[in-house]
Amino acid sequence: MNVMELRGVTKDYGRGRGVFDLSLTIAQGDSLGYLGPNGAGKTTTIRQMMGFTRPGKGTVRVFGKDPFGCAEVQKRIGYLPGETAFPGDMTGDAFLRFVAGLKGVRDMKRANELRERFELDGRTRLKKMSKGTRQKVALICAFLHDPELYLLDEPTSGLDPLMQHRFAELVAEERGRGKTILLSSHLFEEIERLCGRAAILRAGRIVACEQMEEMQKSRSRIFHIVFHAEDAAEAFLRVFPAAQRQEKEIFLTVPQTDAERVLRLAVTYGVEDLTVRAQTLEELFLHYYDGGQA
Amino acid sequence: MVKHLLARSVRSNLGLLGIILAVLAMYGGIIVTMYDPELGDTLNSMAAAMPELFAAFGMAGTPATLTEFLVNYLYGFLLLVFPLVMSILLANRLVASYVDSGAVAYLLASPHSRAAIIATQAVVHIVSNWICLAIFYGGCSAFCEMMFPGELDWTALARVTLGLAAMHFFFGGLLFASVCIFNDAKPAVGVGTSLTVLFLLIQMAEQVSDKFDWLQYLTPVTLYRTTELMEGTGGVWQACVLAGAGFVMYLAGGIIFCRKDISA
Repeated sequence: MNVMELRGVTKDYGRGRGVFDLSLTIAQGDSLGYLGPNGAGKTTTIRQMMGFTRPGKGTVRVFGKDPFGCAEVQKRIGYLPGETAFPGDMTGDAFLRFVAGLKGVRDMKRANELRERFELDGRTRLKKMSKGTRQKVALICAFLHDPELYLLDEPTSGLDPLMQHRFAELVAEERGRGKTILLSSHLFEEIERLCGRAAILRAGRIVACEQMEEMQKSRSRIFHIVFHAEDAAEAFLRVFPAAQRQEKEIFLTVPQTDAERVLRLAVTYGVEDLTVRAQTLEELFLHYYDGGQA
Repeated sequence: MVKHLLARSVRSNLGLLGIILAVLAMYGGIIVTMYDPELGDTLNSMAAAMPELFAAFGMAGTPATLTEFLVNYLYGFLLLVFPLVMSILLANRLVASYVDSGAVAYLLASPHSRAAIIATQAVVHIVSNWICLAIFYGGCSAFCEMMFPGELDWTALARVTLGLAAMHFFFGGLLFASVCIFNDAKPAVGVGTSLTVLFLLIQMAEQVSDKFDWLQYLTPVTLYRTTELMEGTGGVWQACVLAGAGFVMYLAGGIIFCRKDISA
C-alpha cells in the first residue's frame, strides 16, 4: 500500500525556485532519504506533503487523502520542521506537554523515554537552549505520538555525533516496527546509514530515485595508475581520452562494467603502481548535482 | 476549538490583560475623583480654556452629570485607545508571531483542522476585549457608586459600553483579518495597526473644528455615537453596523487562514 503519492507536483516560487513535476511514491515500511543541496526544494516538498501549501500543479496524496488542512492525516504523521521555531516563552518540558496535549497524547511515557534517550534537560526555557538542544525538543515532538509516518526535515542538524547515533538507533527501531520514514538531508553518509532508498533532488527536480543497493552498484570505479614511463601514460590516454594525465600518472573514473578493460590495458602498458576505489556516495551526489549545471 | 491551544493562549496573555486593566483603572480612578458635583470642577475649566485640544480627544461641552462626565472624558478616547493597544498586541501574539516564526508548524501538524485552530485564536481575541470592557464597566460603576452614591446612570453607561464593544469588535475584526492575510509579521501587524490608528486620528481631526466635518465619512469611528447611546436616543443601528462589519472581517480572516499556503 502506498502511504504517499506525489504526481507531477509543481510549486513555482519564481526565479527557478520551487519544485517541478515531482513524482514520487512511498510504500508502507519504506524509508526514503531525500537528498539535495540547500535550496534544492526539499523543504518545499515536505511542506506539500504536510498540506501546509498547495501544489500549483499535480496532486499530493497521503494515506489516500489530500493532506491540505486535513486533521485526520496529521494525526498519523510525525513531522519535524526544518527550522526550529517555537511559540512563546516556554520551558522545554512545558512545550512537550503542550504538543502532547495538542496531539491528544495523555500518557507521557513515550515522551519521557525519548527525553532520556536524547538526554534532554527540559527545564530550560526554549529561548535559552542551544540549537542542538532545541533540535532534540523538536525531534521528541515528532516521535511522541507514535505515528505511522515520519516526515523529518534535516533531523540531525545541530546534533552532536553521540546524539546523531542515538537518532540513527531510533530510526532503525522505527523501521523495524514497520513505520514509514522520509528524511531529508544534504549529507550522503547519513542517508546511506539510515535509509533503504534515496531520491536525489536538484534544482527542484528528482534526478535519481533508487534503492540504496542499486545506487551503491551504480557507483563508478576511480583508478589512479602510475605507469613506468610517460609515453605509456600517453598511449593509455589515447584509448581513454576522458582520463587525466599528470606526467606518468593517470586518473580515471569509469563505470564498474569498464573496470576490467581498464585493468587489462594498463597491464599491457606496464604498471608501476595502481590504486582503485569505489566512488563515494558523496561523489555520486556531486556528479548528479554538477551534471545539470554543465 | 482546540482545548490545549485555548488554555495556552489564555495563560500567556493574562498578563497583558492585567496591564491594560491596571492602566484603565488608574485613568478611570483619576477621572472619577476629578468629578465634583458641587463646585465648578477643574477639568471643565481646563476644557473651557483649551476647547480644541479637548475636542480632539472626544471631550466636548461641559458635562453636567457623572454619567456625561465619564462618557465625555473616558469613553471618547481613553477607552478607545487602550483596549485597541491590547487588541493589536494580541492579534500579533495569537496569529502573526506563530506564522512569521514558523512555530505555527506545531499547530498545523496537530490533529486539528485549521478552522478549529484559527477559531480558537479568534475567540481568545474577541473575548479578551469583552472581558476587559466588562471588568472596566463593573469596576468603574462600583467605584462611582462608592464615591458618589446614586449619581451614576448604570443603564446609560451600559449602553455606551456596548457601543464601545461594537467599535472594538470592528477594530478587532480588521486587525485579525490583517494578521490572517499576511504571512510576514511586518505587513500582518502593520496594515491592521496603521488602519485602526488612522481611523482614530481622522476622528480626532474631525472633532477639532466644524471645518473638518467631512472627515467623519472617512472613519468608522463616526458610527460610535456616545452621546446618543447615553441619552438612549439612537446609535443602535450604527453599533450594529460596526459589529456586523467586525464579524464579516473575523470570518473573512478565518477563511483566508484556512485556505492560504503557510510555509512552516
